[in-house]
Amino acid sequence: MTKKKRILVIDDEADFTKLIRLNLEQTGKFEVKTENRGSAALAAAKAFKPDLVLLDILMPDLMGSEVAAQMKEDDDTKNIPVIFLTAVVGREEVVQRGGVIGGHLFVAKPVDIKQLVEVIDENIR
Amino acid sequence: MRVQTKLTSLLLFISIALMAARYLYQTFENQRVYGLFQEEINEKEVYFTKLMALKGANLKTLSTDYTYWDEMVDFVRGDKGMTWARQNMDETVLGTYQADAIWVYRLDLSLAYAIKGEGAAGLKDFPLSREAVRDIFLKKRLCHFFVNTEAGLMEVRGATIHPTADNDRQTPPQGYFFAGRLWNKGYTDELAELIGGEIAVERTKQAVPDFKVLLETNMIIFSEELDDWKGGPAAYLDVRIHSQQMEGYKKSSRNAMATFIVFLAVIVVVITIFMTTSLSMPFGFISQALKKENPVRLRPLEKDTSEFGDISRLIFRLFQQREDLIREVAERKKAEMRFQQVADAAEEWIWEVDGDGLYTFSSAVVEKILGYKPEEIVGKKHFYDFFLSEDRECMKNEALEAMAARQPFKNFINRNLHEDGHVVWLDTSGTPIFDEKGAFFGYRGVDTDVTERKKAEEGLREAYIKLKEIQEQLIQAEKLNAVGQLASGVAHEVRNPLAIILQGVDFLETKIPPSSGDIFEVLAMLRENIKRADKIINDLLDFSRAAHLNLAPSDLGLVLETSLDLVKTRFKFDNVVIEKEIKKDIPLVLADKNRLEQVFINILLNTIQAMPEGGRIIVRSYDKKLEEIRNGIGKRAQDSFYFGELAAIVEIEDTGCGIPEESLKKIFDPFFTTKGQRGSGLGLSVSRNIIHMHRGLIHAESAPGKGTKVTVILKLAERA
Repeated sequence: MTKKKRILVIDDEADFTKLIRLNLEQTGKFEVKTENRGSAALAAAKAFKPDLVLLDILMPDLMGSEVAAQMKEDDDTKNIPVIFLTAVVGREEVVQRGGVIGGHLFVAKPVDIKQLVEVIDENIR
Repeated sequence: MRVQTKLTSLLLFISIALMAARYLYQTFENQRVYGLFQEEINEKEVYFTKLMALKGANLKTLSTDYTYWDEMVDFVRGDKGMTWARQNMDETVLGTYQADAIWVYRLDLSLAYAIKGEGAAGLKDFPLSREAVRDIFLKKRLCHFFVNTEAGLMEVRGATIHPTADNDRQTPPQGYFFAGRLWNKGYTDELAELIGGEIAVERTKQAVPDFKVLLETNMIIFSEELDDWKGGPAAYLDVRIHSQQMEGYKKSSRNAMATFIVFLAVIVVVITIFMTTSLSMPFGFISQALKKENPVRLRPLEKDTSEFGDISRLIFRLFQQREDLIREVAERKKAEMRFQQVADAAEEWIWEVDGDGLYTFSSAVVEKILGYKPEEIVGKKHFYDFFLSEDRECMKNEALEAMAARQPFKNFINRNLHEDGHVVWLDTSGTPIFDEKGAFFGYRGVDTDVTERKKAEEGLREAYIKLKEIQEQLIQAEKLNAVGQLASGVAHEVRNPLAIILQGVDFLETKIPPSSGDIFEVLAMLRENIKRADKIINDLLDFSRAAHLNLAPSDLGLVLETSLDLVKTRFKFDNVVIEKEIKKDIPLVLADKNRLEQVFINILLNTIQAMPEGGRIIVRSYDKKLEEIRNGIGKRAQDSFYFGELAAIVEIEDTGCGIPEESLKKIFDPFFTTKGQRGSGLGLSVSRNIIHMHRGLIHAESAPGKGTKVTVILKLAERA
């Protein structure tokens, strides 16, 4: 059995992170850790060393884009693929742009787990 | 011929006539004098003959009385002696009978007795021979003749001697008796005195001067032949009488003539004076006044009571009227000149038209305004000839109607064609003109070239429209911005719960057995509705984001191709055929490519969805001039395109079931949908917003059962 891929989910919505974790873990392919504070995201990533980060953009304490920038600057985390998981951009727009906005991968909320898993599988290292 | 010349001619004629009269008078007078003179001459001659007879009567009496006397018969017979002879024929008898000599011959022609008076002393004998005596008495008993003697010319009277009883001398003569008288100077002087002239006895006949000479000298000259015993001339009496009477005649004739001439002269003078004072002078004054155009010359006739006075006063009045007229004309000319100068100087076109609208006056400025010279307009053009052909009928009728009301009008704005073909906007004001009798004559007015103003207005209007558009866009943008902010806020806030619910649904689906049909169905419904809610949010966001256009010149064909590719790759529609009729090389449009793609995708998706049973879609694009009248094309402020503007057209036509008319009206309204729960009702509304933000037009036409055509009209980059 191959090692489960580690997914770090950073979103201020605790309900969302919980359900995402449950659904991803349900697939049996992923080990999921969640973090609800943007400010703690970098530390969580450094500690958890995920294979992929699902990152919310709009968070009350620190914006997802800043978390991504911090991760890019940190040697431990700079190579971890980040998928923005956002309610700011519409699904259709993300689809239109092939999932890439400003050089980053985007997945629009609401997303069903099947679609999400597809994107994760495509981009995980 | 001038009247004065005529008058002079008349005067000359009268003078000539009078001179002719004088000449005729003179001729008649001369003839009368001739006649009188001739008569006098005749009278004198008769008188002289009678005088001679009278003077010779004594001698005649002596010769006849002494010859029928018995005693004388006796004496010549010798019966009476010489004494008787001396007693009866002595000196006294000679004196009594004024005789100078008596000779008595016997029948045998011997001298019986002779006596001579003192005056005849020189006389020797009877101056005729005896034969002559015999010859004398052979034929007649009495004789009278003249004979020249030594003592001068002698008048002789002779008779045969008969008895007393035979005073008719019927009996044979008894002897011969002669009595003679010498015509000496005394005798002729006496005669001359009696005749009142001069008498000369000449041996030869003296030439009588010409009658005219006699008349001139008043001399009556005639010659009386004195016969000898044979009847031949013995001598001539030259009688010269100075005619006092003729002289008197001539004098009175001359006086009469002089009087006549004076009379004629007086007539001529009177006529001349009359003509001069009564005709010529007034004519002269009038003529001078008329010639010099100076009524002052009529002053002398001012109080004249004749017709000339009337004429001169009339002329005076006419002159005054003329001066008034000249003054008036000068005033008018001045006014006209002022008007002309104003008209020339004015920027406005001043004109006059008659009742039919034909120009009767035009100021020169029209050339600047319409490119025509006044002479090309006056009498040749009607005001409506300059109207644009599309305006003409309507505006002509409107203007003629206004003119028919004879009312002034103001600020009638009209479009006219300049001679070179460009449009000139004129602001026309006019007022009706009437003649003195109040009859309508036409209109007079002013046209102001307001083309620049119109252009400025147009510019201003365009600027205003643009401003308005921008304002509207800003308001719209502001609104959309607000909506957008709200929408994005809402989107975020709603999407998150939706995401949670969706994750929840996903989770629950893994937790229930596939056999529990109802639960599974409910979860599927939840999932569908989460997606629907998400779609609404997306559309709402799109709707608000229309404000943010990223405009750039874009290739419409390319945008269409991209849109079609996107549609093809993302949507499955096996039974729909798409045909492309995309015209190449049309001008670029000014557009936000992404937004425009969104529009075309929206339309295409709607179209595909309208044909669930499949069909054909024709995507067409081209450029053309907008020459149809419809909403959004025209000159109104809200119009996006002007009439005739070149624009890019996109038509997306399907062969679907079409859209009922009622729905067609609403398809661009927000939240209108025919797709039931599958559609948000914002897709076409967003598309319309996007197109309007591009200042383009979008509309749909549909024939139920045949299909629908959506047309998008876009501004070209260089015109936007």
